[in-house]
Amino acid sequence: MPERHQARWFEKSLFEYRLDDEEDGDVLEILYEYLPEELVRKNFRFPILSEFEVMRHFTRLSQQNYGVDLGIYPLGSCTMKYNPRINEEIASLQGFTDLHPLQRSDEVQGLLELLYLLSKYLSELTGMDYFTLQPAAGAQGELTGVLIMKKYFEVKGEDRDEVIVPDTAHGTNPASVKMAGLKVVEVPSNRDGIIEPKMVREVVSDKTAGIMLTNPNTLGVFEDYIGEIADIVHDVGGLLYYDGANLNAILGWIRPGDMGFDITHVNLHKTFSTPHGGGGPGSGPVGVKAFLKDFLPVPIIEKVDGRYIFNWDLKYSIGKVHSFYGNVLVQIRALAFILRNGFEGLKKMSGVALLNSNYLFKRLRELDCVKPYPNNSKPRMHEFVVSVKEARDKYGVSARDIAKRIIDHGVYAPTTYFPIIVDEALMIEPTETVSKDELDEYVKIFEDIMREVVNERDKVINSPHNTSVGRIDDAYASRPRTMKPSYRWGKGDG
Amino acid sequence: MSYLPIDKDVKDILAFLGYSDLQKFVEDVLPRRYLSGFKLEIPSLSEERELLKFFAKYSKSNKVYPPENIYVGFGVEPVYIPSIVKYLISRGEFLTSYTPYQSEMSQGVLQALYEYQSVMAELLELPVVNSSMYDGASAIGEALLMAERINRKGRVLIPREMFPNYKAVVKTYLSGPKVEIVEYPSPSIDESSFYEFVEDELRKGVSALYLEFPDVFGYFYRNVGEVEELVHRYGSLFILGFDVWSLPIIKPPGAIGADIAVGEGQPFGLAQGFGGPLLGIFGVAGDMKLIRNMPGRLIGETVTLDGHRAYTLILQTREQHIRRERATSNICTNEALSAIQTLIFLSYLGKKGLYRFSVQMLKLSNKLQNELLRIGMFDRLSQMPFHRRFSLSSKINLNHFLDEMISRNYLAGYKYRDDLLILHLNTFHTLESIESFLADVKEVISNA
Repeated sequence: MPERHQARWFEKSLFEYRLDDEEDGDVLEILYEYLPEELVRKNFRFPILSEFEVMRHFTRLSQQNYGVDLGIYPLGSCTMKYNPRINEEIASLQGFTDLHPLQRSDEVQGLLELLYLLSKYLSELTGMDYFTLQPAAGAQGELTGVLIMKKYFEVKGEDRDEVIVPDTAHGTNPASVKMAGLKVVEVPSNRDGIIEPKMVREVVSDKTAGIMLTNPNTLGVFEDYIGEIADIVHDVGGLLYYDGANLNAILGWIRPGDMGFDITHVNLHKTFSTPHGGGGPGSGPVGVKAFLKDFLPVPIIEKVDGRYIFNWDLKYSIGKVHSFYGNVLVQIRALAFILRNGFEGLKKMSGVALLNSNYLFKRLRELDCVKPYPNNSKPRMHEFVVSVKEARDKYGVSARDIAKRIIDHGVYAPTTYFPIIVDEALMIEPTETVSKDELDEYVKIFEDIMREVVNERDKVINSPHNTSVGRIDDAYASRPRTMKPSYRWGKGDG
Repeated sequence: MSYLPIDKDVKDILAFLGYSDLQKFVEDVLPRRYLSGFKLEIPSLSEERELLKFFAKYSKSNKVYPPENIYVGFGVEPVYIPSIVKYLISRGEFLTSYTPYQSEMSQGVLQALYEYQSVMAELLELPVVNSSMYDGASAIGEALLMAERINRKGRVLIPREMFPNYKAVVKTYLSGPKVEIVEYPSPSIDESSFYEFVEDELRKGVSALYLEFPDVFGYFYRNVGEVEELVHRYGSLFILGFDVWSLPIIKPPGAIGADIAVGEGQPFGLAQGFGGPLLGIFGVAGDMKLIRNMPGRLIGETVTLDGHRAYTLILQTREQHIRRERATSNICTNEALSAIQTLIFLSYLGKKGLYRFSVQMLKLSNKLQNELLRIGMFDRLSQMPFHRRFSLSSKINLNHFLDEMISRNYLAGYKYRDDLLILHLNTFHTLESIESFLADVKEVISNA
């Protein structure tokens, strides 16, 4: 495959344009007129650029960045799919952007109707009964969900503080459990990468608050025993939490609610295609079965006598997790995505996500040094994991090296070193929005690199060669002595 | 049209996998016992123009206040977003990227986020600012959790008088590890009882004191330095809440001696959007113990193996994807794009632009307060200095007043209590808009 070069502008930092470091006497004069001297700030340092320099600086930076608009972005469990531009136009309509959150609900009936509609669709798509749109991201949704579990048992007067989390779980799951003040009980996955009922049976007790599962899990494997696991957890009085990070595999076909889950979060920025450049904003609505409605964050939107209202009166509400109502402009984009697709479109969407993933999996697993994990012939879901341990053991080439060589070809690399139970892991999620040509190219790139691993090892371990900058030493960047988290750092002025 | 590959691709891949039909393939791949066979009725809006029409209708049905008629704040307010900001932030290379895990290919976002951290660091006079939190409210919650991780006293001090939504979020965040929240009386209202209360609590041991500067009423507690000294004397952490627009002209958190500074970034160039997406700003002093305990992503400047300057994610071992339940927070997806938008807004504005608006709001809020006091129906709540938010105790029925002002197209302030109105100025306010507002206020009051 041809290698592709990224722009190399060696763009200077904003602070290297010009610095404005002068006191402004006129300003200070006014400040002293209104404020006591000890409160006045006398000066600060700031970059100065002309408008056209701002344009050039950020245009150059953008050209040194890769996004879904440029091509495949197969980070596993991140569902980096195409972000339709019409949704941007819709979310920039003035009647959405220019609403103040302290406006009265009777002035924003149109908006509330849309948000109500979104909650309703999410409920139906996940088999839940009520949704809160407040959480700003998946992890905040998890925290919301675990706090709901916790409060539920507090209200019931049951002392339960353990949450079961598989070893394949996203890092956010155990982190959210901890943040909610509960304990993580980790269960190992079996050789096929899934949790077995007997493993769950071994750890459940009257201390079990619940279990958090991603299904399909981060190995791209469906938790086949979810029905049995749900029974075991429910039988001891626990709850089931569904991490919706991987919902793109099953949307429209299988519902978390039907698998026995009581609480579900959905990542609108993944499954429902909302852009989250550089790492956010996301949106992580949480749905619950009816018996947990009173525990949701307040307010929730309800329809009463044909009007949409904020209901702040939920008896056992965990409180609030966002300043206002969550990332509303993201929610609108997600609704636009649902409406444009329609139900059949959404089903086809997840169908093609499964299709692309299985195609890429089947092609890649044929290559030398690329071993599937788990190593079986079962189909994968929307993503899959391979280990390049053999490349490391035989040739001293790591998953990191291979990822860096992949980006030399103008495409993004998979997630590396996750799940942590897999040695030299590459976790790959192509999504439905890549063409067969792009998938074939990706295979060809892998093929070429695997050949290089054997014949031109140096080229791989010294990669990348074609990106805006060459290989970065992350450890050096993080060492207290050598790190530099801001322009200000180390200048001795605080 | 759809967002899927062309039909031929789907057919070819199906054929490769031994299928001719997508439905059949999916039914074989997904476990049959869980297939629901449910159906969801969704209006068909597969035509882009129909979709736009649908949303435009809903959008138009909402009431949009002229930005200069809005006198409420609390993290969200109208702000003019320059064309260049809207354009640059919608460039696909920024918009459609994700967390820069492959740093060599994501230098654009990394450098921009590093510059965001750096620009904020200058404004806060603190050396370390993370690359974003969800919003101002969760930033306070995370700051208190961080302080509790460090000091482990099981208790924190927060103001009794706070914007209720913020207090609610703080309570939710602290309900996890069961940290006791102790609420102190406002120093801008009653200094002596504040000191008495706070010193007593500090003596008993608290992990942190959170002070809003300005407080909910808009006042900058003049003797903030004494509070800092007191908090540190007892070994607690001092967390300061700030208003971004006050940073250019009011003594910043770093100069005051804050260990952690938190605030809402929306007023720096983000849409109101009915309250989201927002931007949580989170900065800490240059102490490795604080830095290692801070939540969120951090970008650092470094060099490549071949000696060029580059940027990358640093101190990731604090984060959930590596440290799991021992992480400093569960945060993963954040508000990076909001941070970059704010950075572009600030680059465009520069120091002169920041001064222009900060000073303008200072002058106008003072003028507005004076004029409102002259009506004779309001009293100022405190003599403490303020910048662009101030509070008036009121002799009039505020419900009636605010309703009447709504009918004149104003959000005329926030009713904090039945007799207490908080007014907040934004960058759209001018001498003319203040004068027409005053004229309407006078009419409403005299008609009452």
